[in-house]
Amino acid sequence: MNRSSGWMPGWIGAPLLLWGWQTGFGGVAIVLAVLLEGSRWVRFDWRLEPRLVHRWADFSALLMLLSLMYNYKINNIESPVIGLLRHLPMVLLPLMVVTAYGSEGRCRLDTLLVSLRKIKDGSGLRQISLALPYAGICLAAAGCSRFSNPWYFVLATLWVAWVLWSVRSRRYGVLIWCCCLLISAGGGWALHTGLHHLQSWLTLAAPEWLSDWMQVPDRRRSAIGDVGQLKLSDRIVFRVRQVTLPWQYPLLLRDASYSYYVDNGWQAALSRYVPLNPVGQSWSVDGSAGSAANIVQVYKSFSADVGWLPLPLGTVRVDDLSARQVERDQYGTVKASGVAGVGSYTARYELGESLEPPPGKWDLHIPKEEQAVLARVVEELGLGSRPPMEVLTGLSRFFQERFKYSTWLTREDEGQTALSDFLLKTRSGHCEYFATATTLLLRQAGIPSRYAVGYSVQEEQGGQNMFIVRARHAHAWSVAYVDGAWRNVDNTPPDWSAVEEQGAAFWVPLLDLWSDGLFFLQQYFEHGVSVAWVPELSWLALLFGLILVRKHLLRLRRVRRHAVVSVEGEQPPFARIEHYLAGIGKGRHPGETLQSWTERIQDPQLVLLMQMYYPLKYDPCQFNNTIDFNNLLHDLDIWLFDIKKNYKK
Amino acid sequence: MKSSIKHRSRFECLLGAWLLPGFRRFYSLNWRFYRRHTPAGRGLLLAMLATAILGVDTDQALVYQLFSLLAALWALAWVMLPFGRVQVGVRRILPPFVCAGESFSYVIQVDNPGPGWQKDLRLLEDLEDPRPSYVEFMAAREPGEALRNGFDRRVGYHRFVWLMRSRERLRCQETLLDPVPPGGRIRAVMNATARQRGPAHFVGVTVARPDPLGLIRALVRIPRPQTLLVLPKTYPLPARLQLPGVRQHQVGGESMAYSVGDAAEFVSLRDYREGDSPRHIHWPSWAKTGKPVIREFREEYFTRHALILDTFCPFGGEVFEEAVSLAASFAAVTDDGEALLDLLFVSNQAHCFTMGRGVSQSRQIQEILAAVFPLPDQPFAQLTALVMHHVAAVSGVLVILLAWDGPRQELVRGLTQLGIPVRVMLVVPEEASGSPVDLEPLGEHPEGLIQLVAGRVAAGLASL
Repeated sequence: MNRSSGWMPGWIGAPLLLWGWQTGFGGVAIVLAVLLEGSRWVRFDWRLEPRLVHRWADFSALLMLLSLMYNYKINNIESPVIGLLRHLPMVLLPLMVVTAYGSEGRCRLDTLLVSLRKIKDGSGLRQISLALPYAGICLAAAGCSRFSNPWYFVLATLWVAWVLWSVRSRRYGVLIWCCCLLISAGGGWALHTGLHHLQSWLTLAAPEWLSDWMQVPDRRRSAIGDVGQLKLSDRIVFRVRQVTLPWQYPLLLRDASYSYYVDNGWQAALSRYVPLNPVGQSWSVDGSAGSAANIVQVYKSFSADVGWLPLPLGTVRVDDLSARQVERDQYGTVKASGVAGVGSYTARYELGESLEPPPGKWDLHIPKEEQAVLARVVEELGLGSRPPMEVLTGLSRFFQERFKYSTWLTREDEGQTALSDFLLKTRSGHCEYFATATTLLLRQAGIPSRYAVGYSVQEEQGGQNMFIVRARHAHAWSVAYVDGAWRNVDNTPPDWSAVEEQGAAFWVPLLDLWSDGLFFLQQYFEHGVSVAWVPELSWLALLFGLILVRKHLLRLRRVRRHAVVSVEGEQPPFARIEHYLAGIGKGRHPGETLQSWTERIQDPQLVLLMQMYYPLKYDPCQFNNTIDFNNLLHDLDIWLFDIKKNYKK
Repeated sequence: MKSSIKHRSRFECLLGAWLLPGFRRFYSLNWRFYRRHTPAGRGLLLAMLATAILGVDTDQALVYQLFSLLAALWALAWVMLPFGRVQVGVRRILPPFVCAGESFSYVIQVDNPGPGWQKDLRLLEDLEDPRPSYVEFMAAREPGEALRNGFDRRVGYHRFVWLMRSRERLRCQETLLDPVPPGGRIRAVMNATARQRGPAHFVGVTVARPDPLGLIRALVRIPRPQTLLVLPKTYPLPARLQLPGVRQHQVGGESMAYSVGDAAEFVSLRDYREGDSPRHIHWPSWAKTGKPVIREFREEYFTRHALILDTFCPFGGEVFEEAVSLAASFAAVTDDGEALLDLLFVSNQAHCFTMGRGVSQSRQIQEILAAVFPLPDQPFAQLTALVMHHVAAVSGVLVILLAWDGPRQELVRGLTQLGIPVRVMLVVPEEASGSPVDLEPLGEHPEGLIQLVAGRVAAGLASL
């Protein structure tokens, strides 16, 4: 037996120790190194069937999955893949131990590739040694450290040289080989230093390039100008609890604000995000230490590392938010980093107005192609010279009286812009039309304004001021700068939510039930290890359940197919015997089982036949059904023939 | 559109024309990659790729340092590749023929005319390019293709892979050469496996020289075109499986035979008896006497057998190859001195090898069988007509069929009605093995049909 199968002593141990030194798993690394390197000297022979080796490999795969989930949800410091790589030497240990101590010292290809396990006789499959790949993984895992350590490169080079020594060409002398290796090591050193500097330089330089090139990095496309049915999902996006009263209805939670309208879309012109200063898990949005009387709690699970925070206008502070960094741009958009897995946060806000930074030149910008129609409408309404509050009232009346909400998008005059078509011809549209028109008309009337997107909180559920926010509650409105403060201006007809609700699917209550279950679990584990695991675990449980159901259905179908073969559309195999024995006074009583009947008759051969029949009847999958069944029928015929002959005698 | 690719839709043809160059290029790159890199080099490239992905962010981990080291090693191996010179001459010594499915060895003689030792060299064979042309790719039908999903059927990658495998006649292993002294000569034993029957074309020999690190190889190609015939695989035939129509209890000897089959000279006339062949009626005597009269011939020593191989199938595959192997098995062993298997009907041609007693015809038959290919677009009736044209010279017929449909039954029925003993070997795929067979065409000898299942032909023959 040759357990080393292609690897020399130390090839695994050395990178394992380096991994332990670099990542802080020193103790574990020593144990692993001794365990794996010791296999070549220990005589213990752990011979396992391929099926059991597969189980060990599956166990490693499961550990890998768990490690990935852990790094995805818990470890916010680095990327999940890097976190997984750091754990790989431990994760792969079961598989490595079973191959190192197995009699073969190698593993068959179907151990790693599940698809090959369908092959009945896998003895002809290729066998591979995992030692060197595992050692390479350990070496890479040792590099999963943020802290630059020159010894990593040196030791990695020595290990690679050690491995390459065994495959060097005998055509050349040792001196040439050493020179090549030294030159390579020098080149590698220069290359990795250069790469690191290049990335540092790009990190600093790239945002400036992008900003200069694109002018406006943050942009949002709207459905303005599209034709057809606008339909949004009924999925619950997040939940809101209004902690303090009075309750403003509907509460508008803003995701982002935009200032520059171009090509039927809105952009945040030259958006500059400024980090907010944290105090524990509290983040002051307006930069002051003050508080506000109104409180709203948002239950939202962020799937990505970076996300916008839906907040009411006038938010002063965000509490209970576990984030790496929170930033705000000059338009009031708040962006949080390192929030993957965060379950909820609390916003304190002033009702009705916001003391965000004053407007800039972009807040009065009107695209050239829209200027004529906007001027015409403003002139018709006589808004040009009226005070701001009267302008707001006039515009509100204008939209309420002459426009209607519709999710069916049409164009009457393709020669005009979509907004002109909306204002002059169709006079119906969805919230983006109303918000865009309001924003631009306000600007035409001299009032700085912005286009805001977010959600309208309006569907209460279960009392206690709990509200659910669905994807179809996504909304757009305007934010106007009036009397030294920003305030929401929503001119979309109030029946818009009713119109949206009309198209709700009949299975929405089921989806809600599922979502409620998840939310309940999240709340239940709120103080547990991590609430953010719950959705993934739930989906996993659902997936697992579906697999089980499918497996069961397949098994059922197989059993039925075998059952069809076994009965062959005829009477049960013992029927003729029952009929004959009934004729000679040994019939089967009603309700008497076949087993008890044959035992009562006390014929050992018949009992034996019954014992053959039961497995075929109740567990047909375990047998070569057709052959066994035909054999049974044959034996029953012989038995019946014999019993008839004896009875006649 | 060519007739051979009529079964493909226009969309499939366009898709094939677009995808096939990609498949061909992918195969070519893969082939070059494997020849150019040593196993260590391949492992290094794989590790380089992995560390490039994992180390893309140099602020997250130090894995990029490992990538840099591996990249530097790989680059240096390329830089060092031109330094060094290989100056050798090669001569390949092949066996006359090999059988499909067998591993064999042959020799390559390597000369070193240069002043220095040649060490750490490897020999690789350059075989004919197995990549199919567009028409071949579109015309081919992979066995079981209908069972594949729509995407796989239309894209045809599995078909491409199957075609590549089926066109690969030989698989040659590379061989590490012993050091060749200056002005010296060595003989390298090459190991190969014959995978498919047919002529295997060698294009040349490649001599590979590694770089100092042992990662990449410099390749020197020496043209040495040669051809090796791979004969079909054969099966052992059971002793009791005799050819039909063998004459026994001969009183004469070889010297009595002036020809094969029924001799032209007859010895007497007699009255017709039931069961006599109508071919032997003496028509002038019948005209004179008014009742049928039969000619009696001198029975000769040799009898002539014909082998009919059915090649009229839409595409090749396991069943077709099994049928060819079965035919080759009969051709290889039928040399009992009592009968000649020297008339071969294959495709739409008849081949006659009457060269006297001996085995010379066996090789010739096998060579023809080595090169036989399916005829997808031609009717089976062609073969029936050809056989009927030559039927007068035949004492017994062995028919190897791929199906048991109307035209094939018609051939067997026609032969049986002419009184010619027929043995039918029907090779069927696994899924059709249980279906019933109509034995009516065999007349009074239904035992003359033997059904064999592709993939289990050897076991089927052994059970006879």
